Amino acid sequence: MSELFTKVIRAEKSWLSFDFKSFILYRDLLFLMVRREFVSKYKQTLLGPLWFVIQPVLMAMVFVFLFSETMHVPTDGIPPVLFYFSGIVIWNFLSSSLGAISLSMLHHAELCKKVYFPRLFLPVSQLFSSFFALLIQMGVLLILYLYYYFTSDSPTFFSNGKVLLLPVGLFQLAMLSLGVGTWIAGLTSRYRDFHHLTQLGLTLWMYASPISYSLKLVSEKWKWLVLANPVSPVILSIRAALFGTEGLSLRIQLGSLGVSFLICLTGLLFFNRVQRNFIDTV
Amino acid sequence: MKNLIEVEKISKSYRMGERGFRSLRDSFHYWWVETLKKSASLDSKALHHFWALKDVSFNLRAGEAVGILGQNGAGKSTLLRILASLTDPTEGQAVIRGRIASLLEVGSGFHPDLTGRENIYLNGAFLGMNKREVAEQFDAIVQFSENEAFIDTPVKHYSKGMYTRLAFSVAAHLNADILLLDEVLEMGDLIFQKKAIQKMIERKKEGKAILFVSHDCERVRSLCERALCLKEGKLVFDGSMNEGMSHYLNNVTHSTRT
Repeated sequence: MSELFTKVIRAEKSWLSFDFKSFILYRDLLFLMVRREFVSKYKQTLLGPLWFVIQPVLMAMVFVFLFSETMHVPTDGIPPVLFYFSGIVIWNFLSSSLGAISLSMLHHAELCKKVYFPRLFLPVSQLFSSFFALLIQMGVLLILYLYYYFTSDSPTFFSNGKVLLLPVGLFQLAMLSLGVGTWIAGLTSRYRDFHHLTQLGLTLWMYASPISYSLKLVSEKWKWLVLANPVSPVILSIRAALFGTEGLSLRIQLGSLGVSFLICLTGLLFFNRVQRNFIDTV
Repeated sequence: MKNLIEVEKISKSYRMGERGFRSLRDSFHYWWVETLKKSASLDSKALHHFWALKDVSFNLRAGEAVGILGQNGAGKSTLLRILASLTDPTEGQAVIRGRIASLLEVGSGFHPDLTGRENIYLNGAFLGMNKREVAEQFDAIVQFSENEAFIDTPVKHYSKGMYTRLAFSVAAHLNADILLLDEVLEMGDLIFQKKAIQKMIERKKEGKAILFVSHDCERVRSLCERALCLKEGKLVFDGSMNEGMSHYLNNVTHSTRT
């Protein structure tokens, strides 16, 4: 019998003990869990994966009608459809993955009482499945983007080297949602209060992020508040990447990347700590 | 034969009232009461804690099937949960040598919207098998479950019996060295139960170690030759099944529930 399968069970005091061995042993499970999450969202629907597209498209249409057609809010010279759609797609990824991650522990409590598997797969599989939905939506964004690129008279929004910011921005968003999500998941397993807070928090967080408005419209007095929000630099840099609009200074970018990394790291450590005995309290 | 499991003085304590729902307000209340009462009564910790298991030690060798006997609340399920790594012990340790699979419930991780085929892979993965291992066993699993015709139907359309048979079949074909069974052989109709027990006896002969919890004395006796008796969290007997069974039954007749 190989050493790989020998393990010692004891009361673990350390915060840093990750069961890396089991991540490797169970790697096929992660893939199946991601697939399960993704597929179960559209099983027994007529339109299937098209639902991942319908929701942001409708949202963007409402935004265009409300903010551009009715209120004439400027959109930094970006065609309003692209401006709102890009913001919505990015926000959707954060809010859907964060919402799912924060409930991943509670929803699978019964499963966790019956079988052992790396508990970290619960949030991570939610993150990946939301990421696939994001990729589909980014595909639609690309189609819209190309349409405007070839039909508009002055394709001023054509991007440049900043396009490299796109993967960095998405990675930062993933870290942020995993970090905040695992914090809430760990806290919710003990205190249901945090579940109620999550929905409220996400709504408020959306208004504090430049999804439906341009940063230029925010008065100097309150700009710091929008920039203190770690999502804002990501949205601004992704728009800069796609449309060549003005981004933020490198200092702010790196700062928010650092904050996201810290949230992610502490969230994972906290989750790993809570999962050890959470079936006793859930 | 070498030991696959070595359990040394394992204990598990629960805080009274901690199981179940708890809100932030309750938590503040506990904290308040504990800080105030700490000086008032030194026994507050003892009052708030309850030992579900206390100093349990035993070994399990390959090819051995052990039945755990005890009344409800004796600590049987807690012991299996600790060995399955579902929760940490409070004190003591256990060394596990080999792959361990916990069948505390069949069909863990089954998703109603997925087909029988998809669920076999998913459930197999939850029980620690990789894709290749499930693929090798796939035909045997389907055949054992007697569900060949419905293997590509979502399991939510299955009857209870079909569901149980499929779920048990995955578990029965596991590649693990140690199997933890908690009343899972009581599923399905009598004919399938007999088949399930037969399968487990086969696995035992292949050299798997089995820890079995059941309230059905006949079933325990047919699979296990050794018994562990738990009473109020303590191991009170470790020996042959016949002696263990009479020890357990004696205890039942002489004790009254409070």
